[in-house]
Amino acid sequence: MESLLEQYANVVGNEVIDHLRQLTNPLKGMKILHINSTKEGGGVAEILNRLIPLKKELGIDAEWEIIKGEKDFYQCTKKMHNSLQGNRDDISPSLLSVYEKTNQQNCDRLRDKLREADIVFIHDPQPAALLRSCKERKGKWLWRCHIDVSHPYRPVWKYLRQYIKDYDASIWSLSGFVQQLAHPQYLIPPSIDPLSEKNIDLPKKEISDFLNSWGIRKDIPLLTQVSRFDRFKDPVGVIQSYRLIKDYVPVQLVLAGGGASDDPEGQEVLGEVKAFAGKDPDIHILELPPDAHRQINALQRGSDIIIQKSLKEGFGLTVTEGLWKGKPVIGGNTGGIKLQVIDHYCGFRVSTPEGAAMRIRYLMKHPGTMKRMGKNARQFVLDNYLITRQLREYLTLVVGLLFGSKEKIELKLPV
Amino acid sequence: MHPHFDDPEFQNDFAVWASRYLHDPKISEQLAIIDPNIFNDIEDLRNEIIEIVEERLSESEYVPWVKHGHEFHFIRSQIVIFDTGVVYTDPKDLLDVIPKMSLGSIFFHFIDSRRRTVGHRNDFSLWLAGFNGKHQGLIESLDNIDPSFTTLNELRQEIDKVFKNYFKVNV
Repeated sequence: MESLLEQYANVVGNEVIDHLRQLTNPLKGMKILHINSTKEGGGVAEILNRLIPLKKELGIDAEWEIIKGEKDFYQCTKKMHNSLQGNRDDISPSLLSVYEKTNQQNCDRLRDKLREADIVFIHDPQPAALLRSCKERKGKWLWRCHIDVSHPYRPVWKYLRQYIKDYDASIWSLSGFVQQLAHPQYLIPPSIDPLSEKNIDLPKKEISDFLNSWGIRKDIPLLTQVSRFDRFKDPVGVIQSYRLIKDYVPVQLVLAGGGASDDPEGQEVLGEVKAFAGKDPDIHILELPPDAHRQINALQRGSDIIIQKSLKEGFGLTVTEGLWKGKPVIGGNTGGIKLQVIDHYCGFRVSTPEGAAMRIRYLMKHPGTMKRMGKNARQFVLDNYLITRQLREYLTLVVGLLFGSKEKIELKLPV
Repeated sequence: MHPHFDDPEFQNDFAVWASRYLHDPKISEQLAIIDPNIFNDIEDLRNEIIEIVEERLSESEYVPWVKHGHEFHFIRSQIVIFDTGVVYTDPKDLLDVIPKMSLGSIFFHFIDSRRRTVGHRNDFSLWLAGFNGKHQGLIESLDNIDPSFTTLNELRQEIDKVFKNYFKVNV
């Protein structure tokens, strides 16, 4: 059986894997620990699910732990998440107290690992306060921010900054997301895993079986948005776009949402979306469990156009997934989507439901353009947004920390 | 990571930003034409950029500004050099290699080389110079390639063409 690295080499080429091996050489024997708040649901968990085995196969002692909390903790961190993305959402002192206590408890539970690790990656705000609780740490601690903090609600950012500023460095997806801090700040866009259930090639029959099971017709084009039921993803705006298209050409829409265990608002938004969709038989609202990766894969592959009309977006991995499947993507002109959807090259960026409708109608009228954009999309992801590139940059960052601020780092092939 | 798909009209981030967000064609053109290779060190290059910006500011009636979210973000980079493990001793062998070279290798040997070599040359020409004038024609053709206003992919094709033409003539 092929090793994981061999399987990736089949997709990205041997040279990319050689680079990973060279970067790993100086890191042999180091303990690298990743901490986030959920093992399933959401892009962070998906990437960590594969990054950790890859690092292990490269010879790094990598581990992944999650912090655990009660309902109030997740309510607090959801508010933090929304506030950091710009919502004016005050967090009560009692909820902040839950946040601090939960981090302290998790630090006590994970103390040995936190203390021993050479490099600790802390993902997003949920576990950010661990650092202050772990006074006897010996390694370098890095805060990895996956969201757009360009216009945060200031009181919440001010609160969180007191923890973040003490990290040795922070990592951001885009320069536009960054809040100024005194420590080194790195830019590493996220990525997708081409070998995951969500992205591997699927037999045509499996795709059509899934579509049939959801009652999706084969005779009219399919538009799909896959994302959590979250107001920032603007699912209602997507339905508005669909209605503006439907008046001119037959089309069907799927809004598919997977829940994440750290998102208590999902059900509320789902209710709003269902009410807005009404009884239109060509709107399919699919509530998929967090592990419905193959179904989402089939859905994206069976679609003609992928939509991700977010109003705010950290990065939007569903955009990359859609591009990887060779589909043009209509994306909201925000956050990381600006890096991924290159206007007129692999899709279009839009600012309104009207804009999305206009671009989709244009593509449906020009199937040749749609095909060309889909081809560009696949190559674009191959070159820039696969997990091997992200891993290379994480490893480079760690090597960079070891080598200090030298302008050039020269690596050698493993002997 | 800044993938470019249009013709690379402007050669550096400053010029691209001045054009796209400041909407000031004059300064973007002046910044675009800067050739970093003609400066002895980075300080000289920095002073040249400052000079262009200050000159433009001094002749402007107001200080130009950009909308929030379109600010210029200064990014520092650190170059990581990988060992490909690939070694050749005969220039002719490069005929097969160049089309398969990674874009990173093209950047390192043809563009980065100009910062670290005497005379701001490309690595291929310097290496070929060690063959006692045997490949002077090839060296001249390589030196005549302008690495500006092109993509790395196109640059690779250009280098490949030069090698193919030279060895076809000299077989």
